[in-house]
Amino acid sequence: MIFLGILLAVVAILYFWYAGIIRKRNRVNEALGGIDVQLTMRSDLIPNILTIAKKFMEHEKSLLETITQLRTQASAPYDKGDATAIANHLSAAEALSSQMGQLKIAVEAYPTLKSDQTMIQAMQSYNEVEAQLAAARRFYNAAVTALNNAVQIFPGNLIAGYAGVSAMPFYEAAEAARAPVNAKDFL
Amino acid sequence: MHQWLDLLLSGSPQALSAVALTQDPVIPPDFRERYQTLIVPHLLAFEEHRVSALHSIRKRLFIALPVCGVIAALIAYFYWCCSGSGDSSDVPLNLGFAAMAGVLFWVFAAQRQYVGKIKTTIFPIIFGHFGPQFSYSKNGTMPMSELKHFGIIPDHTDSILSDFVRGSHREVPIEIEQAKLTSGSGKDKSVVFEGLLVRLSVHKNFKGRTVIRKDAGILGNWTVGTSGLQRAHLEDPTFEKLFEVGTTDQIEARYLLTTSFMERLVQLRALFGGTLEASFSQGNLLLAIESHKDWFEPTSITQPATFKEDICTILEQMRLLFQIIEVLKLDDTTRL
Repeated sequence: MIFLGILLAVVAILYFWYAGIIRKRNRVNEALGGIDVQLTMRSDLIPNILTIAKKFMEHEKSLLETITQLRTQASAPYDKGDATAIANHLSAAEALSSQMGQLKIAVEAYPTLKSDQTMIQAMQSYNEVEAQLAAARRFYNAAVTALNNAVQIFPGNLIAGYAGVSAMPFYEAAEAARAPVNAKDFL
Repeated sequence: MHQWLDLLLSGSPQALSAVALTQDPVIPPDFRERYQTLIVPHLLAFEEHRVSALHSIRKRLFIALPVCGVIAALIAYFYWCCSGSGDSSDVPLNLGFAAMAGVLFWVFAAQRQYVGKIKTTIFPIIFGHFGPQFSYSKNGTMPMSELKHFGIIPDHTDSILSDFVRGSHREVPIEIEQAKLTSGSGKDKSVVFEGLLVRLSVHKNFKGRTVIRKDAGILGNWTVGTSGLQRAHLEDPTFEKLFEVGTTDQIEARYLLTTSFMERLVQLRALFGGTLEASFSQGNLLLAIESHKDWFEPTSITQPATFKEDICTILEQMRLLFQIIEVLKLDDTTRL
């Protein structure tokens, strides 16, 4: 009787552990969905910005082309169950963020473009989406931290292995964003 | 208490002359012109009102003190008679206290009338200093039912609302109200909230509700998750130690509570030195600041009616309240 009781308790604990891991994985998927919503919104805004920018920025063609390519890459479908595919997707999204940051700096050198009303409005919308994206990224990283702790710490690693759940990549800032800012470049 | 004793023992109070009232009033420089043009013309009338109120209080105190003494003696006599029989009901004691409260209410009726007149005549002029859009009302006009959706107003059975201020600072609309909320009745009556409710407009667009409550320990915080909100664990350890966040939208909560905004909330809590809770809902931010002080009360009736202390106190208190907008940077359009 005692043995049966212990067995039932162990099974219950394992079940709740398993359920907890699955819940955390679903939370990560929910957070990833939130990021994708914002990425889609941002992706929809970029062609508008590029169209306005092209009219004024004769010398920034390569930057505009890079942004177009990265936008296509970041919008490409990916496997949401594959950690590597997710990492590549997030890395492309971050690279696009970084290039858009370069574009914003470049715009400063074109006073007519900078004061263009349509460009100001487009940039305001873009900044708003970037703020939402930053929030979605914080939620995703919080969810990933909880999941990774659950699947990497014993006995969670055993249960996660059995359930086919693995650690997920963080949405990290691009190398360019982490590099120190050189004030000389802006003076 | 000693001021009423002074009033009884000293002679009949005398009104100050118009010259004495305006002599050496230490008014903040930016308020001087307003004081001269809008407040000085009222001083003499208020001083006369104040002195006549003091006369009335003094006269009534002379009647009330013996009456209260008789009531106390009657109560003592009743309990002395009953001490042998073992019957010691609370009813005479409660009746005695109620009678004494009634007498004191009658004694200070003139003071209440004087304070009410200051609040309806002088206070709106003082609040007008912050801009033509500022208004003051001695009665609370922001009903609790209107604030219920924020989710930080505790359940209550009774509310005393007073001192409603509406205006805008740095183009951010602000509404302030003093509230005392109680629950239960009789001996079980308890105060569930006492302090200021501050409603502010927020530049950011949001649809859901994000509630920032004071940290209530492991078990207390667990209830956040059961109130229809999801708990949001944020990155700032100092903030997490002081507050617990519940939200209907995890991403929106982080959009509103940026890392810098979390730091500012911690600063704001330190500024008011007490419990602070906040909630974002329907385009507004509501702050519930617990405080046991009476925020917008005129100075004592025993002081001459120059209103210089009232002016200085209100300017100082409003400066503190405006710091909510400044510290939280609610006027900042960069939305960070």
